[in-house]
Amino acid sequence: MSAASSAASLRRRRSETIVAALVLLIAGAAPGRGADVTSPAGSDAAIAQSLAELLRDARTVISNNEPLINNPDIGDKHLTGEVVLDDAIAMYRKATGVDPSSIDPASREGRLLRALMNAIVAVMNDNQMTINEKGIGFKGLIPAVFGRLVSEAFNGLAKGEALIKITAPTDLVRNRKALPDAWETKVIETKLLNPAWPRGQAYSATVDSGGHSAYRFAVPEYYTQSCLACHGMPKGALDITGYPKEGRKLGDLGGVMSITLFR
Amino acid sequence: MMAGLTIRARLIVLSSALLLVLIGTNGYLNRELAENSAEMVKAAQLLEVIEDANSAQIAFGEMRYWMTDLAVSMLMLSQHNATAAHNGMEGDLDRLAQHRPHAVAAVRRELAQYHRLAHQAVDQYTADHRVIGNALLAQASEHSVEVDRLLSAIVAEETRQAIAARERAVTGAAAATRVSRIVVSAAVLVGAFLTLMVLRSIALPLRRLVAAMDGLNAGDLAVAIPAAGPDEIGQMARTLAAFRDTLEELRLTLAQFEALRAVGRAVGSTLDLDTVLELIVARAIEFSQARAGMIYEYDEATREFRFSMSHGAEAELAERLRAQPIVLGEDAGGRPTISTTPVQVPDLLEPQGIGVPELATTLAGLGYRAMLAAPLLDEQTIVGGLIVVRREPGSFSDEIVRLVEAFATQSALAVRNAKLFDEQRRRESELRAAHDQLKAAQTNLVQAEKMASLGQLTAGIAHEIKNPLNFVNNFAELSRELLDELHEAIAMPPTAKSAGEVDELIVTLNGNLAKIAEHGRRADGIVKSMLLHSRGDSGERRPTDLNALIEEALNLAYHGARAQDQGFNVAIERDFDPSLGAVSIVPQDLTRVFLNLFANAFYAVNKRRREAADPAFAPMLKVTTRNRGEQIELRVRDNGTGMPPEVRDKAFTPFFTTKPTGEGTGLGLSISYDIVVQEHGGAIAIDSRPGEFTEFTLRLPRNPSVAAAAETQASA
Repeated sequence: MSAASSAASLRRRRSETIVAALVLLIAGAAPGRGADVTSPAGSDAAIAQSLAELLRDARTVISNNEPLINNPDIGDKHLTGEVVLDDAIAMYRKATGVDPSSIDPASREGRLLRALMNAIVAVMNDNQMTINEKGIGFKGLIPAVFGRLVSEAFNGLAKGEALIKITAPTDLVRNRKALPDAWETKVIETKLLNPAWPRGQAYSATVDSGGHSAYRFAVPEYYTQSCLACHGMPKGALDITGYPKEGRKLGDLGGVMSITLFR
Repeated sequence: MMAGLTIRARLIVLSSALLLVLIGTNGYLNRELAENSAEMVKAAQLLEVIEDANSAQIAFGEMRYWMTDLAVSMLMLSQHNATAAHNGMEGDLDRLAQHRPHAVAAVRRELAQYHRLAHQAVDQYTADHRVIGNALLAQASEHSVEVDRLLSAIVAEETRQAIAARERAVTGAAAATRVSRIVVSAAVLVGAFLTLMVLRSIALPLRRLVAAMDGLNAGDLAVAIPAAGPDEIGQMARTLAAFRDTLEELRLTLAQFEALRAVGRAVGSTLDLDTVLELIVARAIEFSQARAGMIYEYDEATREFRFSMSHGAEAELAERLRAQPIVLGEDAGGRPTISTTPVQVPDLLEPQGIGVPELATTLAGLGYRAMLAAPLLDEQTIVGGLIVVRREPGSFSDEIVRLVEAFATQSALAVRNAKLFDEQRRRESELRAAHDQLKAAQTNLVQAEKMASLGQLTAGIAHEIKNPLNFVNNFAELSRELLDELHEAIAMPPTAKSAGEVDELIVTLNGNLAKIAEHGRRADGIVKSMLLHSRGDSGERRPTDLNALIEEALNLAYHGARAQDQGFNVAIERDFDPSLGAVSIVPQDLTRVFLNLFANAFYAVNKRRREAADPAFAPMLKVTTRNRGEQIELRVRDNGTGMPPEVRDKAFTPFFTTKPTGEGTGLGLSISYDIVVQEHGGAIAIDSRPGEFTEFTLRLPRNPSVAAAAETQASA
């Protein structure tokens, strides 16, 4: 690897870190779960909710292990993909009463959940060198970065069947890749940012996507106190990553988890 | 060159020349400055263009950086920064396009290419198509190099033009400065020369004029006055020359005036006519520039002018003239020999038309050629003539004629004064004689008045003396009988009884003798008093019982009146203040006053009694004395005829009387006034109503040393 490509790689990593951090913080306060608890098993809504739940749980595990990850004194931290996945499944089970591993792998839901679980393990295992690096404190592997990496890995694994994207209102997007598409922009502006929209309620719709019908699902996520360290006041001041703060307040809409299920 | 112009014109020429130079220089400098300024503005505009081009280049560099950064980091911040830099660059290009539209259009074409390709590259990076992104970015880079090249070319070209403009401005300014220095230096030199010329053309004549003024001021009337040019100084020179002429005239006039004044003074002060005339003629000769002068006196009786005196004339001429009086109207042609206005003979050898051919012949015979004669007029009456003569023929100027006329007037005045003085001396002498006569008559009159009042009193005095005389006679007769009885008693044998009778007789005789002596003294006193009164001279003050003095005068006056008119009677009321005390007065003088007042009162009441023929009328006189502290007051009031105001006003005037001629001198109250007011420092006043009463009030100071001069008051 050349010096130039190494620098470019570092920069890309940093930007990913920033977007991931955004997603993590939002996930911490996500009230979207159970917005549609009555959805029948195996329906688009149920699948989307399950995917969102599992991804949020995995992010929470990473969040809980941040002090360990950023400890420069410990070398091998034994925080492998399997360790993280086990903790995430435990949390998923606790929340839903269902073990995702027990869902029929042949079913659409089981297939997509397994793709997500594989993506979680793969991302963690790919980043073991970074996590176990000794002598470096903050490593940039924050829940948000983790979430984006997992979603990208998932998109590769579930190609042609489903997409997971962490986006936000356009003026809050820091990474160009996280820019909302047309449908997302419209949902954010007309629904999720509408003062009359029930707080935490997800929005779903069946849309046409390239000649095929697709189920689209958008879960709003709101700023918690810990989010505001990078996104709060004073507006324009630089945060820990060197990016200007957005000047937002507690409870403002900060991000949207967008899931697309192709039919 | 300048002398032909007025000073004002010279100054106008000078200032116009300087002003023209100033305006020319200014105009040139203004034009140069304007050109210079335009060049500077152009250079400044070029600098702005360069600045814009540089700014656009910098903005393009920033844009390129942020686009590259965006491709690597995907950060929206980089995208925003790139957009901002692009916008800034577009603004720079807009401004630049105003000056270099073609070049900017080229830049924009390249920029658009770069922009399009760079954004495509970023989109490819975002979609993770890294290889395509790299290729697009490399293509964009070629356009970015072209944009840089184009902008650098603009900067280079504009910089070249700006330097050229600045060079032109600097060169133009240097040239303008050089030319203006030369022009200003030349203007200063020409201005200085012109100023010098103008100043010289003013200062030199002025200096000569000032010298002339100083000379005149110092009294040198012969001082040279510079020639009068056409300018203001020439006007001043003309004015100065006129001033000098006036000064000369004034000097002459002043001398003439002084001479006339001296003559006038002599006329007024010197009474010797010959001396005065001598002076007048001498002055007349002097001012008329004549050789000799003569005065003739006119004798109305003989109707001829006689030579009086001469000055400057030879003794022979004087002798001849004296022997040759000029007879009025002797002229063969029937013309008067003298007129009331001056007459002159310009040439005595040709004396045609003058009334005195003999005089002309005499004068011409002695070498005189011209004559001027002026009459001596005393209010249009000819009293003589003044003649001046000279050896040179020709007319006398009007001024000399007027002067000689004035001297003639002075001569006439001198003659008149001399006559008046003689007249005055004669009248003074007459007046003095009349005054002496008057004084003597006045003295006689006063004495006569005194005698008249004395005569009035004689009867009263006789009555007064008669009383004690009766007593003396009676007591003397009685004593003689008692002496007979005494003689008989002594002849009888002495007895105790007879001895007692003798003693009684002696006692009675003694008493009688004492009474005789007493009445004798009384008579003696009356006589003495009369003598005092008639003696006339003022006595000395002495403390006097005023009440007693009034009583005595009252008695004298009353009996005097009774002696003159047996039918006269009057009721006399006395209201004497017993506290009056002694008053320091001259008794005999005040007695005269009292007698006067009482006699007048008796006359008035008697007159009213006779004129009124009213049996009920009772003549009355009231005499009152009052002690008023420092003053003594005496009132004498009668109910006689009274006085009208005009009489009352003149009552104290000497020689004023209302009595028939021969009865009064008119001096009684006048003398009384003098005695009371002048001598005693008192006051005397009259109150009266015609047909009712008259009351005299006298106030006398008790102590004469504190008495102020009192005034006579006549109360209404």
